Amino acid sequence: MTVTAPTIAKIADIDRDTHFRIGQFLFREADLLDSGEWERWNDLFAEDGIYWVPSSADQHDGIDQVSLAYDDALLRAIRVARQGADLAASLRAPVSSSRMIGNLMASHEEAQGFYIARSRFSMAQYADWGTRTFHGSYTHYLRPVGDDFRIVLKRVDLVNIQGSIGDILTIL
Amino acid sequence: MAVMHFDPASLVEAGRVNHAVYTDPEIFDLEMKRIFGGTWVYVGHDSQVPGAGDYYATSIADQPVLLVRGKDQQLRLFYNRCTHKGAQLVNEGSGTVKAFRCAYHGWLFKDTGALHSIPAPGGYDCGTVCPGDGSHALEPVARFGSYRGFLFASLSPNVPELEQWLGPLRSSLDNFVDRAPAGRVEVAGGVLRYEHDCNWKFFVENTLDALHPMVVHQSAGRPAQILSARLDNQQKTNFVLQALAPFTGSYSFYDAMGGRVMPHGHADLGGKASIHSDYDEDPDYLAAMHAAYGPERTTEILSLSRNNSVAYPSLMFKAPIQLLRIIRPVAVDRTILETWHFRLVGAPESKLRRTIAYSTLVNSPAGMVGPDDHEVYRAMQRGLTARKPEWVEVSRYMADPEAVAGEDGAVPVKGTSDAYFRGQFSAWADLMGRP
Ligand code: FES
Ligand SMILES: [Fe+2]
Repeated sequence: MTVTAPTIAKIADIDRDTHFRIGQFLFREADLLDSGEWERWNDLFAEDGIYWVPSSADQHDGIDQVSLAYDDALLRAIRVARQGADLAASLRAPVSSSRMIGNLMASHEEAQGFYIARSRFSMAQYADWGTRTFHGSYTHYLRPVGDDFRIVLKRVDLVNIQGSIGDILTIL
Repeated sequence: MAVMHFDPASLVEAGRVNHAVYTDPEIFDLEMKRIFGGTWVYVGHDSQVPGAGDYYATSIADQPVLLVRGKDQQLRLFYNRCTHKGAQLVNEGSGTVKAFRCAYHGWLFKDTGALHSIPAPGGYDCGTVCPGDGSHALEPVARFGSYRGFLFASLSPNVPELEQWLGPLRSSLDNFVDRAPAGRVEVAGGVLRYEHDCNWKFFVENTLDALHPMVVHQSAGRPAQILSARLDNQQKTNFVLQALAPFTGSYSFYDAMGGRVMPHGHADLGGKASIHSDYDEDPDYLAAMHAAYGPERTTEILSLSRNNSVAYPSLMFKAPIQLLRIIRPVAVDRTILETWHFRLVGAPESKLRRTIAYSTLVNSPAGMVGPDDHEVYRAMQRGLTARKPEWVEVSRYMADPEAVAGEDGAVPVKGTSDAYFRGQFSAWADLMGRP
């Protein structure tokens, strides 16, 4: 999937109720991640959904350019299994995280019928070797399903991505 | 000069190495001078600076360097330091310039390194400083050379010729490039920079350590196996599953793939088989290879599968999957690993996409393989601070009767041999023992 930043012209305003529901959805997702509910987190994705952490700020796809993560359903299933099992050396000592989300701006992409939610996050990741913080932006492409949503794309842009990056042991 | 309280040669014995080589900051400082400052180190690839005025600034261990392609198409490598009062001339990274202007007092250097002009030159009256007379040019690095586009430099002039130093490892770099139908590779697909909290040697050893994947990488291999069992045959050809499967390969699988240990600490793991040799191949790629080389030579090129090769101390490359990793030591317990990817010129884009998919999966700090390697390096770094026992064991297959150097100087070894590490430490002791 090639994903470019939405241009304002394509975007229709959304009502306060939708904005609120999108916010609640993002908070729910964040809480599942910080609670280690990996499978339930994965259930928030559409079947064709992608979890993406690009390796540069201006990256347009995860196919021709390397990413920190570019997970379709299969890779997410492996990632979730790996997070949950006791096998990974890097996850043997508990890793925990806590994140804050803010600055939510949501809009409606009419052509493809999904909502685009842009937000900022700060997250602390604790592992036995230390605490590391990650900051950046989330871009969620959300497909409405009833009065809920499914994630078509979650793009995570780390603010320090041009530098060297240490272990990301949780899901951003 | 402070008196050294150790003799480097005493830290390496037959089949064992003293723990201090990984933990002592003083040894690290000496390594930067004598290892990273005393032999050929990988700098970059010539496709990173394709046009006149293109530059790429990086470092060789703690030394900032600047690679430039001049208008005369010549590649040059300088210390990235202004010859006035010493400001770093350009920030790390790449770009294109007409000339280099120092950000401090505005001295201007040509792409040949020559000092072109300075503001207010009257103050020198062409006494000590005189632009155009050849003095105060950027300082070139002592030795600089290319092997098929791969650029290496040595801060010390006392090194063998690059080709001679690479020796039999050249055939592994050849294989990297020969896999391109056009016989040329170019950097593509972005870079990963992964911060490691450990000594640089853990990585350069581990990349040849075939006794660890089945232990360390179960966490990725097992879920892949379980998922794979649930999929139909069509889905099983998914590259991710093919890429993860060998990470849980058996000891005999790794032993049988074999490897080579070469002079100067170089080595490769894998030969007739490797963790990459069971991937499906794109028929369009095979067709392009056949057209370029003919079927016989194509088979010869593609059947050579050395999964990890090391040009000691700074470079690890994977010819069958077109990526390389640069080892950039920062401190005794801190290293940055850079992963660079390559396009096989003349091959379908599917090849680059495979390289990218592999690297995202394996080499990323959020990947399913790299963080587990890093965790065991951390455990090594912590464990080896213990003052007892003093020695690290590297004696496996020390008495292998088949490990005899061939005509080219390369020693064929078993995949799970410690001969790789003995070879590295013999080069280490040799370089560290030099004044
Ligand atoms: S330090 Fe570069 S011009 Fe003065
Ligand atoms: Fe590994």
